[in-house]
Amino acid sequence: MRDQSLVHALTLLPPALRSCFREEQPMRMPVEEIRLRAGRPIMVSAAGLEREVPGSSPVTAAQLRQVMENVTGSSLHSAAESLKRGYVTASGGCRVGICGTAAVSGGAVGSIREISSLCIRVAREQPGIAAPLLHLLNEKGRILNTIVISPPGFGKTTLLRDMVRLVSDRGIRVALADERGELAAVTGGVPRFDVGAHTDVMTGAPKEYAVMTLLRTMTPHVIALDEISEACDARAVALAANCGTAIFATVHGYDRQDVLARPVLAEIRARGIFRRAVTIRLEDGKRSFLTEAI
Amino acid sequence: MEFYAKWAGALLLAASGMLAGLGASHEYVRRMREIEAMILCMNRMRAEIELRLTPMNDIFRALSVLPGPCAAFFLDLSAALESGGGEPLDILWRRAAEENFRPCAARDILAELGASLGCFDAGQECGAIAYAAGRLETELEQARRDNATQGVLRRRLGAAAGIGLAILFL
Repeated sequence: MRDQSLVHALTLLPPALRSCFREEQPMRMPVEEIRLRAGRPIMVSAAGLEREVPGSSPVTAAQLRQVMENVTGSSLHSAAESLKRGYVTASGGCRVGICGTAAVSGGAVGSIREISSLCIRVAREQPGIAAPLLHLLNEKGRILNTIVISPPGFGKTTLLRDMVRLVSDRGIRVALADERGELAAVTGGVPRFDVGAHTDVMTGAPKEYAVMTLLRTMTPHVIALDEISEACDARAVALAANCGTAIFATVHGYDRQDVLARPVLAEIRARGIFRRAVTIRLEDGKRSFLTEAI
Repeated sequence: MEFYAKWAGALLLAASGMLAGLGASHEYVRRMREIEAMILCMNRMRAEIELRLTPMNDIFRALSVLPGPCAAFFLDLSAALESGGGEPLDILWRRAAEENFRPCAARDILAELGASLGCFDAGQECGAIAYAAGRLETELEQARRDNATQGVLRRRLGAAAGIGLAILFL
């Protein structure tokens, strides 16, 4: 049976590019990313390794523009804000990274023009992936502030999504600050991915705003945020911690020493906000999770 | 009996002439209404994009339920976008315009707008829509003038021809 998550991601490609995948042999590992570069054949990556799609011809600039049109639902104006930050999230939760020529205006990036490459991340859920960790993430029935750490593409978002689902399905109210729309992939108000029965999702808002609003309006027991990378994200975490709400968050990094040494996370480190760190390792195409107390 | 039949025939001829005149002038009224509806939809599109950054398909769906000559055009567009065929909006827009409106300058203006939708930021798209709406306003003025002259002329000619035939018949 064809990988449905991949099939969904392929709907973003124009027919000429999509047809290259008819001959695609099943991979040992599921496809994680589809990479399109102007003038180069289509590449797919699985378990961190890239390989060419057999029989694919070089991708043209017009095809890249068509992909962008499909990703934004022919509504680039609706995605202008995220486009400035170099990505667009398609309906269904596939995040598309964009590379090209930045149009700078007044010292800030206004948009990206002349797109040279796109990276389509295949959004998939793996129900149960977080189940073996769950007992480590609470203490005397109280959910502990947990940070998920790994380099890009190792499955932080997938793990966080399943942590949210498992906790939520135990009757704990979870609020999801889904800035990039990848975690829940809400379409028409309904999450495409199962994020649990007691989860409220705010999509598209910056994390700081989302956390403040969710705390005021949804009274969550747990707040989940994806990719703490900037000072404003760290402020959002500190804000939630101030209110006594448990936090699940992810961050790019190699391990917890590497992550907590960052200046941007200085307040989080100083206040000892996180009590558990889950580090994702990838060896020989296999993922493993290392859970540590902080 | 013959007298009444003759008068009835004459009345029928007169009425047919008037109806033919009305039919001929209806084309001018239809063109005017069509352009008015296009302008109304352009303005609504611009407001949705400018104020709410509404995605195109949501706009098309909203416009497809408005009564008027543009409903079928937007319904076709919405259906084509949802089918996920992977064709650019430009092509879908042009095709829907050609299928739902008769050939005229206003249709060409509408079809041309498709090339400026879906792939630009809100400011640029609103600018393109405003430009198209401006051109349609010019077309509407022309259509109103045509209706006031040609439309009235055709109605009067129809009525005159009908009455003339009726008199000849009598």
